[in-house]
Amino acid sequence: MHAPSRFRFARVVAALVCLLVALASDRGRAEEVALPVALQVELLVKVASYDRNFQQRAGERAKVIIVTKPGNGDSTRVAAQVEAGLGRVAQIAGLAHDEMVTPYRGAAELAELCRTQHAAILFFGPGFRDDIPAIREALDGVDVLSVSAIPDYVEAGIVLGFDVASGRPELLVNLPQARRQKVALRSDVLRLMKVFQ
Amino acid sequence: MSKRHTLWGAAIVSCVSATARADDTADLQSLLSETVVVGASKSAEKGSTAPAVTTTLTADDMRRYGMRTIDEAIDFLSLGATTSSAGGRTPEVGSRGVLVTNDQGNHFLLLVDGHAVNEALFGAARFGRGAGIPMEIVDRIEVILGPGSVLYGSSAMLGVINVVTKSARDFAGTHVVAETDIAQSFRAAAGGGYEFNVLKERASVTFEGEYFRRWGPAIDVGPQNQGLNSFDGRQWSFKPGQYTGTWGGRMTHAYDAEVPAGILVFRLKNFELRLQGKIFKRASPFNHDFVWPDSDFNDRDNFERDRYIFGDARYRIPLSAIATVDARVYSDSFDYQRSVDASAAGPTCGFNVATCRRVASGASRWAGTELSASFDWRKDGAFVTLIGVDGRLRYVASQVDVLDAANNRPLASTDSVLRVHDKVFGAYLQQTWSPTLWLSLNAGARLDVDQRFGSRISPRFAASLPVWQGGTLKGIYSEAFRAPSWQESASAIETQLPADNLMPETVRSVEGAIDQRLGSHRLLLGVFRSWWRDLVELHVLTDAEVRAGQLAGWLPLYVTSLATQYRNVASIDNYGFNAGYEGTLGDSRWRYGLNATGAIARRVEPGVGESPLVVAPHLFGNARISYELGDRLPTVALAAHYQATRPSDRAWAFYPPPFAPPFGQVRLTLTGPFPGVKGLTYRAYANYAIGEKGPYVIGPTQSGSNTGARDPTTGALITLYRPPELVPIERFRAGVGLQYDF
Repeated sequence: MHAPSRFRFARVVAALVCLLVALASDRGRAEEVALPVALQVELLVKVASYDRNFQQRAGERAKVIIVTKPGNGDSTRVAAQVEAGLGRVAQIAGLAHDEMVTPYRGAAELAELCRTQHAAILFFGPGFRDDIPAIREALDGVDVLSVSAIPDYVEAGIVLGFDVASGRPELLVNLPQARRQKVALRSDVLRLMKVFQ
Repeated sequence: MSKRHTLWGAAIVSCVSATARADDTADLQSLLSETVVVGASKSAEKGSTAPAVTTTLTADDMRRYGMRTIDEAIDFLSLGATTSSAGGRTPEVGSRGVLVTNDQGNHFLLLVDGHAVNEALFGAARFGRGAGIPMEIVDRIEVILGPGSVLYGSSAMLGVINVVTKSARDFAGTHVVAETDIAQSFRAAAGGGYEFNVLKERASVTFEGEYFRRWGPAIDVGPQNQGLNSFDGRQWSFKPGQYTGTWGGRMTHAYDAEVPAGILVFRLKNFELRLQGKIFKRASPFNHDFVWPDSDFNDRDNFERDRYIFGDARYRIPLSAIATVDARVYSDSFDYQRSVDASAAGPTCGFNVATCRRVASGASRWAGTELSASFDWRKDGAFVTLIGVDGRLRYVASQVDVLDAANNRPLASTDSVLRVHDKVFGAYLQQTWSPTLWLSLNAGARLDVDQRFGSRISPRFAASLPVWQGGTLKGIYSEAFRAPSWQESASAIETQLPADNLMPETVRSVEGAIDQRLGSHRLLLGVFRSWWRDLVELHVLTDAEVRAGQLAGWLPLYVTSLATQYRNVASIDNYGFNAGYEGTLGDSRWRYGLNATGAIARRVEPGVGESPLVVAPHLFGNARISYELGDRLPTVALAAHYQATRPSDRAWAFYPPPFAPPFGQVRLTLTGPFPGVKGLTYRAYANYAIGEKGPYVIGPTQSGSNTGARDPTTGALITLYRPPELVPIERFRAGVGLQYDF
């Protein structure tokens, strides 16, 4: 005896949903990138030009390190989008620039990489929620503008981040951490940001 | 353009330029003034390059300018869209010169966080209080103009309105609200946003519930003399036992409404669950020909009621750096009831009782799943494919009962019974491509399959390119359709034939727009043209068609006039322009905006000719300005909107046809912290309406002449020639509200 067609349809739907849930069981968790990455890149380039220490930090060429979380597809994709977006920008704060995508191997190692590479900007995509406290500690005193695609990371210790508030871009800045990492944003720019003290 | 106008334009542009140049953060402000929309292509993107002309109505603006409902926000803040309502009835939404009256909102697709709420029986969506969405939890409303079926299927003909709720972070804490329109209504609401850990994973809950009740204002209407009732030879009666022949007086229940509603969003890792529910009961004081115009006057038992609940669970699966899959299951339940009491004998109350109660009931329930996959082939967002399928099982029911109002005892067997299950299926594909820095392309199409009419493909092509510093030019071609509602395609009563081979309404649109940003200023200019085909309307059968129907046994022999049938009747040619400007000055203490739309829309019916659309204004717009006094002082905001004169909904049934005068509202709003109490804020507003009448003919006089009754002494047929009466508009109201955040 054949089941009514609507029940067959419902079974197919249920099976598909179960399959997808099973597929996804260990694929990493989503952290919401609120603002489109292309717009984040545009904002980052603008904000960097208002950092009074940027040129001194960067030297002749600005080095941008983009950190990925191994095994996190979102992180890899955001990193690729940031790299591609910056690749379309001729200069950051009047300087030529190079991008480097590197997997995350630990906070201390990352801080050391920033020092040895004279990184001007350190960009984090999704996947670092549990690592941010360690990263904040490790970057204390390191002269670098840390940036996050995830808004929550700013309050936890990343200097600059991006959010969407009421359908418009919002810049977030962790001011104490900015001071620790020698990032000096102008007061008229800070007025345009949501500041975490 | 005159020389004087040219000089004024140049002065304004140079003033804006000078303002922007004076501040060297202008470039940054320009980026921060961009809007981010998700509804246009199902992913977050810049409004200036999105494949549609969009307006984002922000939570901040809606609070600042005293907006309490979606329709108010559209009227006072949006570009290209406008609303119209008769007294306390649900508002109708139109766009760019097209508004289809009595459509129950089924030409705009309403989304709540991407969940479509238009149901299957009427295609209904509510945009006023009946939306049941507490405004404090709303982060923004995206008004996406133009055909939008490419990703969403049916009903997105005028556009898509996407209500986006706040995240737990943006709605953090607990919020309690109490507000009143003085002597007319009150509203109490409570909600909050909380983040917490579940099994070491970050989770959040955002929710708000509200209760709204309205009991005023009272309005004076009539008198309308109906004379003798041809059914019983007595004077018409509009109250039990009173045969005065006259309708009118003080109407105290016209605006009655009651809305308990709530919404909840739960997030855990990649999982999201949304629940929304509402009951929307409102007065039904002004009926029209197709409902029951001779209902009792000012009877609080005349009402309409919606009950609606939906659940929507989503799971996002990042498969790799290239592929992401989204799975969604959802279920909705909507039911509707209209109860109308009538004490006059008539075609639906030919019984020997004091008062008949006609109850029209309907329900639609549906459940479905949507699976979509996004492929970022180059991993840089420049070449992204979105593919998805959406399948839905639906159940629709409706019936009409006539009861004795004294005891709810049935007076006749249940009529117009509809019980049907169906399946609808959609599949969509969208490709975005940014081959260069200066060009963004978006192309897509959706296939919808409906067992009633087969399949329909809705394509869209859009391109945007920066033309100079801060300027983005975009062009869009799009199509959309509206599947006939089940009420249109299957309902039948004694005097209404069931529809035969009803086809979906379709619209094609081509438009161009330029979006110019300069610091915190934005200017948008756009032109559009659209072609609507196969509009579904209740066609009044000709005498020959009535006779044919009677011969075929479809119509009873006593039917002599006003037999109807839903048909694909008309088309609309529509073209016009949109213009919008907004900006801030003085550290954003000054905010202002201006929107205007001019459009020509001509309804064309074979054999009848061309006519303007009723109720739809050909010119409308809004303006706003606000100033933050700072510290503990209030923000002062002034907003206004305007609609030019427009034909009333019964325009062609009277001679001369009635037109509603120009209509506008001006609203002054003060918001700020309440002195001395941390966390307590207030909002107070005063609203003044310009124009005394709206574009709806009310009362039993629904046409210019009435021939029916015979003079009891001479036996001669009596013909009354009567003027139309348009719905009165409430001229002034004021309200206050308090919100406590802790």
